[in-house]
Amino acid sequence: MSSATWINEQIPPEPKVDWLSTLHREGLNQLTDFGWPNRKTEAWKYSPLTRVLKGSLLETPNTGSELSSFNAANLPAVDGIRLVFVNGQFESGLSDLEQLPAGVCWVRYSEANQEQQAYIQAQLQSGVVAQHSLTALHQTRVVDGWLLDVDEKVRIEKPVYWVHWAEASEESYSVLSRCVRLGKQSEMTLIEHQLSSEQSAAQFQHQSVHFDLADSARLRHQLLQLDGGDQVSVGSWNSRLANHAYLETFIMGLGGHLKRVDYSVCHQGEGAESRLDAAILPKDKQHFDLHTQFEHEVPHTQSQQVVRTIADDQAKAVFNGRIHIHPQAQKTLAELSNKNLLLSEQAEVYTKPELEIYADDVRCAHGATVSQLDHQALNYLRSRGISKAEAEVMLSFGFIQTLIQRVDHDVLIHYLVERLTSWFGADQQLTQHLGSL
Amino acid sequence: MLAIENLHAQVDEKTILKGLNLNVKPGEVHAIMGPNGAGKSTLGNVLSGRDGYEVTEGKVLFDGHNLLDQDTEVRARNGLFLAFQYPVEIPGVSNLEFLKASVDATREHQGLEPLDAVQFLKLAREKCKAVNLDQSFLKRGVNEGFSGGEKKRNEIMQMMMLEPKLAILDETDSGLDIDALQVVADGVNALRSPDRSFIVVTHYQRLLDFIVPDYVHVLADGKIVKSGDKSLALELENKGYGWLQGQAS
Ligand SMILES: Nc1ncnc2c1ncn2[C@@H]1O[C@H](COP(=O)(O)OP(=O)(O)O)[C@@H](O)[C@H]1O
Ligand SMILES: [Mg+2]
Repeated sequence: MSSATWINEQIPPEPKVDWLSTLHREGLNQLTDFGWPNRKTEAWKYSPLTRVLKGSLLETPNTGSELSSFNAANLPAVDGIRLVFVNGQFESGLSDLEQLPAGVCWVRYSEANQEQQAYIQAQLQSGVVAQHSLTALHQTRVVDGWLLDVDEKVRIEKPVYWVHWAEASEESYSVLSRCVRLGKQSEMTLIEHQLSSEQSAAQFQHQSVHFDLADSARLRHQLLQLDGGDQVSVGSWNSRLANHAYLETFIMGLGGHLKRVDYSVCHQGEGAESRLDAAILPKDKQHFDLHTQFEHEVPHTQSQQVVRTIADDQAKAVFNGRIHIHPQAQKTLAELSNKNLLLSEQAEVYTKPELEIYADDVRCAHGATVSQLDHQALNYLRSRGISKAEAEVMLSFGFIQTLIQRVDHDVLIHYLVERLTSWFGADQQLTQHLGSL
Repeated sequence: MLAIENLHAQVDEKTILKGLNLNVKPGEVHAIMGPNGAGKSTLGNVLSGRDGYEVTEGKVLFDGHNLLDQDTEVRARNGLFLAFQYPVEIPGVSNLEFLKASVDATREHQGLEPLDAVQFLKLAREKCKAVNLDQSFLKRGVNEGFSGGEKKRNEIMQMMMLEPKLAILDETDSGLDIDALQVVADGVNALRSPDRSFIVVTHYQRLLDFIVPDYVHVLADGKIVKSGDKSLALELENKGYGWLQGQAS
């Protein structure tokens, strides 16, 4: 089937609220314009979607949660407000709704009040910066979604902990849309934790999140994509930052067949500031594609991105980091550093920083490197009696350890270090000294 | 302890060591001096087994065993220690995890029980103090952002943790002020014992006032061209190396 035919045959599902139909139509038009990505499509150049199209992944919508082996006891003991999604469907029974503090509302799009619905519609229509075929496709498939609405000056003490569990006996496709509205001077930590059952057939999780930070709001976002096996995950995270809003993001990518994260941050208010740290570790034949887009639209905003990748075996990592400084955005400070470590001859990394700077009084620094383990450092460790194999593990781990420390949550750091330890090898001899920082 | 016989070695197909002989007995301190580029660091690197340093001729016995067919880490575990002229910065690997891995590997090789976390920390803190490094250094990345002097003291601290049989100090005194020099010398002197040996590579006679050597050698153009007692160091300080060139061949 050609991609044009496939696209023409797309019939958007029945939405739960009428205004989503408008969104569907717009999405379909866009999808027709973009076409299905191929090797020449810039946004998907290095991340082929053949696997996604070939199987029944896209054709079989997930119709609800199958009984799953999900067990909250296996999660890290994060003292947070847990909100669980199974195959893209929210599961109130597994969630801690009663822990949501006053001034915080968690509601379905279809059940939100009028003001909220109007807000969501505006967000979904205007919010996506980096448009491509898959964001358009997503738009045609949203039937409902979830809004986290945080009132002004509310400081949510505990982290909100979104758990995404993937498990189904058949391949299937699920779509999830969420909006997070943070009122003025509100503050929260949001942990998003994707994981999957080892027995699960491939699931295609297609998601979008819109963050909207009002003046002086603060959000720490931790996106942990740790679902393994044959999972496919494609999603876009879009943030808008008003005056003096602050967004701090940590992304960790481990496992899965194909993962794509589009992370865009629009600095729309003076004094807005963001920081993103990402540790991406594909191995085997895994593929991880991170596209960031940082827009600086007004004067006096700042962003800093630190992206580190370790690719092993025949894995591929793609990083595209775009910084766009608009003409009026004087005094912008934007930094981007991307370092990649290749542990195998067959691993591949594609990295491309893209700068578009239209203001003259700005500071913008960027750099990307691809390297292997440092021989001098390796020799140094070995000269102190540490075996070559252990030294290699220690150095690789060291390459991302400083990023992990930014998580600033001991339970989670411990959990991530454990996951990383097993990533680096089953041999306990080689990993026993990791993370005792 | 260490017997080097007719050692030839090359780096990048360039021959640097050209028939070097040296014999170090247990308990002895040997100083090696010599002009820049003579091959002093190369000797240390060859002895420690660094990749890329190829021995083309000669042999080296360490503790009666052929040193040259051992891997770098095995040499270290057997008690050979090189304090690097330029210690490497390794961000992301903390001094503490590095030292623990190092001490664990060495003790295991020597058939000793591993130290538990408490014992280990106590030891590490004690040694830090001995070389005048703040304990906060233990949590920092290996040599990361350390000043030149701090790096050198960190080398000595590692030596004290590992208690090697033979320590080679490659210009550990360079760039140190007199107080730091005293710290380094104290570290070495505290470890001096009848069954431990030192090779001290230095440019300056002043270190040898603190660490008194049994022998002083001049290394020039890949060979030991002159050996003597500690008075040779003074002579070199006064006359330089020029007068020795004739004796090199
Ligand atoms: N890794 C290397 N690659 C190429 N040449 C080297 C390397 N290491 C040392 N050399 C060369 O070997 C010679 C001896 O160097 P070195 O042993 O460092 O001298 P010293 O320590 O006595 O000053 C110099 O000419 C130096 O340029
Ligand atoms: Mg040297």
